[in-house]
Amino acid sequence: MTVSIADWFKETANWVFILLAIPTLLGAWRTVTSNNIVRSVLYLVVSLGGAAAMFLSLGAAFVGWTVVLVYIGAVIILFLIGIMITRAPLGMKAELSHASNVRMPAALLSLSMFVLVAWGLIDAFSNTAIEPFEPTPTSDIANLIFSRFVVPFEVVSIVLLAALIGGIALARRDDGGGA
Amino acid sequence: MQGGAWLPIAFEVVLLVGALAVLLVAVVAGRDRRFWGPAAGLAFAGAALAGVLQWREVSTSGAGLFFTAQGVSFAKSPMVVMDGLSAFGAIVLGLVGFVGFLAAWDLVAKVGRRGPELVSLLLLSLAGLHMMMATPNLVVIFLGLETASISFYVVAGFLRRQKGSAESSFKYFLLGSLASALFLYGVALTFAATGSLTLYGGNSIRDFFSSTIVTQPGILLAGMALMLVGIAFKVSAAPFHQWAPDVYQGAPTGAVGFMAATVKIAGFAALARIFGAGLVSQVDTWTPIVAVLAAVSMVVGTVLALVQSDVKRMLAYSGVAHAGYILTAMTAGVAGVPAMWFYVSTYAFMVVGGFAVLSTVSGSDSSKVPLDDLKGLVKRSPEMGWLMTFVVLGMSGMPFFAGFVAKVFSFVTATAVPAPWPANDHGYLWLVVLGVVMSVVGLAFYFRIIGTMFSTPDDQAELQEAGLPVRFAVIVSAVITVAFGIVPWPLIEAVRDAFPI
Amino acid sequence: MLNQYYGDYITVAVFVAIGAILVGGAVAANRAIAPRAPGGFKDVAYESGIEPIGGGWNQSHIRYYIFALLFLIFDVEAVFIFPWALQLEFFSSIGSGLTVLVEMFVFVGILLLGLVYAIRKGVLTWE
Repeated sequence: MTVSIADWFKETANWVFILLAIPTLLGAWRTVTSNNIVRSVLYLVVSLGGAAAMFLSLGAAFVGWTVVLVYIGAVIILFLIGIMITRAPLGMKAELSHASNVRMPAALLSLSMFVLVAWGLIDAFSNTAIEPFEPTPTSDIANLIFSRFVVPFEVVSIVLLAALIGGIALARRDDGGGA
Repeated sequence: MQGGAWLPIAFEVVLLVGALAVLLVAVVAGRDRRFWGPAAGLAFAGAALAGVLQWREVSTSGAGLFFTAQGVSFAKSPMVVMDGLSAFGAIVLGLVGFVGFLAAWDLVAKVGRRGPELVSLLLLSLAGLHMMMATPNLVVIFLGLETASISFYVVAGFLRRQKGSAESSFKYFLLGSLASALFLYGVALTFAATGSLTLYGGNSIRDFFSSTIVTQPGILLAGMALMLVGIAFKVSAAPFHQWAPDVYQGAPTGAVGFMAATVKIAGFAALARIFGAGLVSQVDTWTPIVAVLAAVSMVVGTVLALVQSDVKRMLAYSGVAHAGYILTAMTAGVAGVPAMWFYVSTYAFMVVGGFAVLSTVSGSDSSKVPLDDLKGLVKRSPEMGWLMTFVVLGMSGMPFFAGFVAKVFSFVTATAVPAPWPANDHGYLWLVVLGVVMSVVGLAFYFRIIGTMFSTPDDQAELQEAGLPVRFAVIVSAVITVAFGIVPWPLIEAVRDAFPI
Repeated sequence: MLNQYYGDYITVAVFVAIGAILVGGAVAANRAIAPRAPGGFKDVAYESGIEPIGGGWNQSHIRYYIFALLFLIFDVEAVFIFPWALQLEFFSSIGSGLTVLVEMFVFVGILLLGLVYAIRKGVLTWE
């Protein structure tokens, strides 16, 4: 089944996708190119917001709002505080910026990763029609988490506990005894 | 099922309870390590015991899948598996964890009131590592991996005031999270290709391959490649090894053995679980890649170890080479699991023992251990010197040491099964030839370590005697290295049953 | 059902659009109308009319990091509590309410013990 470009634009969902994809990509691009690290973090908010909206447009409301709540709400805060506790001044630093001989391999690596994944996705799904789908209600997700996925659910608390203890061990002020 | 529904997750539960107990005892009874230390020791020993019980259960009633959904009508897909692989892994992880914990006992004293945090992180990491081999679900494998990784990032940076330790932690964190992300991406693509996150059970990846002919394998190949890269990184197989020397060197010496050994055990067990058992139908696709990884690891690890001047870096590169020898066994697919287990379980003790000796020589909170620190060790401390000699001889693969049997077992396994590429009946013969050559080349740096230890010391000062737990850890490691070199049959018999289902 | 779902979010989209237009319009209007005379004291940070001392960028204390980390951890916990609260009644109607209750208590309990440790070790004391 081949789809012409005209057909593609007839679909409203595709317009929504384009509308969300452009800010997501721009945000991601500016996150890595911005000279000011605080701006990078704020551009990341744009990118994450786009990703959250994309989940919403696919009917995955729970995942979308989780991205908003956890990533935009908490992880970004952690980023900003992480920046604030460093002593580094803002802005570009000549001795820290990558030499051009490192940029080339990095770009090649990113490109090859992109080609690999894009080729894989096109190879596997270019002929698959997307069926009309129903949005996933949060109750279904709850049913899954607390029955089938109860083991991973409890493991998440262990991961969080490890992060908590690790954070305490690294960030607590020293009052002697610590090496 | 006998032994109750808790047995399949007993290992993790014991360690989690142990970690929480350590924290609570430290809060209630006091920060002295004598109060909460026994709780941690009991937890490690209890975990090993849980492994033994699992092993007995598997050998009497057979392997099984557990924690399928009950009461709610969803497709059955198990979250926990108890079989030869997970039970044997539990025993090995428990024992290595216990010995590694004893080896870290001096470090625990040095970090003062942060000791409970260090020990509970070690306990939690071990639980996470076992989760990687005791589940058929790729998401749980990832969560286990993350539990262990987060703990180890922190342990590597535990000596906050030392530059090397912070660098070690940061490098480990940056590169490690990249590897975790790649692994997760691989899981996602595999899910996209097969429609399942479960290796066995209902609606599993195995079922998918038995009922479907994959005509467009692109996304599956990408998924498998990314998962393989993630695991190769964690077991420090070249060319994904760059973090290992810096991390080993910077991390506190007392805990490096624990980190290095347990990650390798779980990484290879997860490789056997995912690729050996789950993607068994794709064996012709992934064994050539594993063979290339093995070849690169052996060459890179051996050659770069020759030019190091720091013992920790040397052992790190030697670890890269050993990852290559273990991957050599895995080129036989699931048939390579026994050889993998023999190698990884004996090598793990050598690593713990080796780093424990280094921690007694240069201090458990040291970062750098220049080769000169070992000068005249045999004269300064005959006990540590001779035990270290045994451990290093074991690593080098000398006959009558466990490393030799492990290498032979691995090489024999790699040639026992026909290889898909280049197609022949003798398996990966080229890889084995390369492995033998590299083993001989590797003798050079192992004997450099031994030669340094037997040389005349600069100062005749006796080495300060290490604490009893650390000495015990070293003795156990050396005894295991020697014992399974002379009498390997019991272990060979055992690993023949340590298969994934 | 899908249309209903999208319909709900169109409201959100409209509000986002209005917000963007308001902010964008205000900034654009400011650009267009405001007189420009850059330089001089205008580049100095405003500090209640007094001349500022030191740079605008100060290093914060590392203790804030722990608070942010705790916030993140309990945020993740909250994300799991919402669907749990939503479906607890359903689970008890099919007879596994107690199991699901215990599941959540174990999850929260593990993290609470970590929190107890943090408090008792004085990580959260403010001085």
